[in-house]
Amino acid sequence: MSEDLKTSLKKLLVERLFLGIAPSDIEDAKALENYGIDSVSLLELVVGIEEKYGVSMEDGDFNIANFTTVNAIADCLGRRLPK
Amino acid sequence: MKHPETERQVTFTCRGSRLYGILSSPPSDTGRGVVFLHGWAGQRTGPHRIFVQMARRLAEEGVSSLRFDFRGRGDSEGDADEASLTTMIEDAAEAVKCLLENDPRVRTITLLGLCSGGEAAIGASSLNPAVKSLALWSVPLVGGNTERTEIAKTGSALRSYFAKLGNAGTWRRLLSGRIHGRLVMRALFGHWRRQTAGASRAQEQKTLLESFLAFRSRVLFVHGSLDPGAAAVQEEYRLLCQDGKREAAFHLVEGANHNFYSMAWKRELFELTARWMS
Amino acid sequence: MLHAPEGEPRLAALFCHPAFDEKKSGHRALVSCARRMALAGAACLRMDLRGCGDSDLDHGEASLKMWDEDVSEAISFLGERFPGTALGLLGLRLGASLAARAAEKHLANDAAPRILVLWEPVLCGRVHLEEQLKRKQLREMLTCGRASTQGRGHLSTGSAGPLDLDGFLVSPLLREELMAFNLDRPRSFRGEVFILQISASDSISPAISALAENYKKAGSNVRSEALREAPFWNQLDPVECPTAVDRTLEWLESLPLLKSR
Repeated sequence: MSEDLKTSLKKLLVERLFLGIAPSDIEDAKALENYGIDSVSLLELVVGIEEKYGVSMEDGDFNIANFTTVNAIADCLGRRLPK
Repeated sequence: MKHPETERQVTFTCRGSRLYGILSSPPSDTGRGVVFLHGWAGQRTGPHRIFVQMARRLAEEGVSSLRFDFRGRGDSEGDADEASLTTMIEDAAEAVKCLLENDPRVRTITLLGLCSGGEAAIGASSLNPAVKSLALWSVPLVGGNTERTEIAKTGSALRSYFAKLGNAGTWRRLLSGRIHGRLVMRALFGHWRRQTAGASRAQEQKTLLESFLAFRSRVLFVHGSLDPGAAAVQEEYRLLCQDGKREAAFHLVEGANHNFYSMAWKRELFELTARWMS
Repeated sequence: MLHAPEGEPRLAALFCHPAFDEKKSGHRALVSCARRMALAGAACLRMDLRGCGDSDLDHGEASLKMWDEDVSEAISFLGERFPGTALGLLGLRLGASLAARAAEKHLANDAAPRILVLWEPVLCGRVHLEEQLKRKQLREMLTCGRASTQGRGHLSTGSAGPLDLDGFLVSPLLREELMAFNLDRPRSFRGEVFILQISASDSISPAISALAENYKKAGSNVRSEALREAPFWNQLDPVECPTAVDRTLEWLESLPLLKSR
């Protein structure tokens, strides 16, 4: 998975969700809840992803497994992005 | 639906802050009243107007009610950051007085609390003799995290309860829920009350537990079956009620989450609560 | 709830609240704003639209048309209660959109609003509805592991029945009205306009710029500002958002219209 995508996702997380940490502080495989991300944050994240990457989250994408870590989000998003 | 003559705004004060509420006084008189107690970060309408709808449902059956905003919430005065379970309990006690003063037909009161509002209901339950029953929606387990040594060690139910609390397995069941730890807990508890630190928290919970054990009347527990830990919370409350000193009813709304976020779950919640109250 | 200032008000303002779950979380900021504006000399009326809050009717009976009527009634009430006082509309999210719609309707008479404050207005009803659906899908996901509700596809080709948005019933009429609603069109309102974008960005978005431009073309004096703050109408805990209130008060104080009394 492209490191650029993960880096860009971390930047989105920090900026959009006002996390107050540096993007580099977010670990790829660490559970997002460790960074104070809650349900309302997830809505902002989804909207942010759609706006930034020009994708539409499909019904099937709303699976908890896709939102646990940066790796998981990147995998899900990677499937949506044009190759 | 609303009868224009049924609802009006009322205000009352608590510790110098003005609190705002809506009093519902239906034309028919059953002598029964309900005080609605919203959750930590909620408002008098309750999430998705759950309290408004329940109040109007109860009004159809001649039950008066008061729904109000706790200090620092909704329309009420007060600093949001200074709200605590203690202030909520104080506000609840004043709300009971407000209902009794503004609708003198009311003789018996049910405190109906959602989540932290349920804790406030427990805390206020013995503060006015008119309070005869508690309807607790999605109420957390009181007494949690309390140091065993701080609790009076009398009563077999109490000893049994704390033996269970000391069991790590109990807490795993209570807190693990179905899905994913903190993310889900904060999400689904929604208005997750900021925890008071250390000794204050322990004292607060000790007092709440004592209030619950001192309450000797009817209690209804309703949780959503998919509210993480709900079944385990209800199991712990069953243990506490084993002393037979209160008439307790337990219900799980199948498939529902913490705030009963659907029309179908709300309808079931209203029906069973109204039936239990009647 | 009417927040009345001491003495004669310089401004009579109607507050228009957000829809759905945004109303709850946005509430305290509007209360705070109304209180501070009252201290500064404005009479502020906060009301619940029908089907919302403590007002009559169930949410499933509400429609945009009904909400437009409610806003119009409230404007008339303020005009009668405070004759000769400048009227203003302040809205948050869909409330801002309703305020903008009302401003278009009440034009060119003495009792017409002359001041419009829009906090992060909903520009497109379809997008707003889709966001509420996503909120529902995320809740389902957190409860059950995956969402069971169909999303935007359901909105376009969905059944004729009402939509249950986590306890807020949306009638087919309201759904149709929201799907058709868009603020991206020429404006007729001429007055003082303050658009406050509240988001993760500190620069004005093209959509907000376009809205501001449409108001300018109609002859309004417009100020747009970007406030970089987490969308408080989506937070779990109540947020008063003092900076949004500060910016609004600063702008109001700068208006010659309010200085002339």
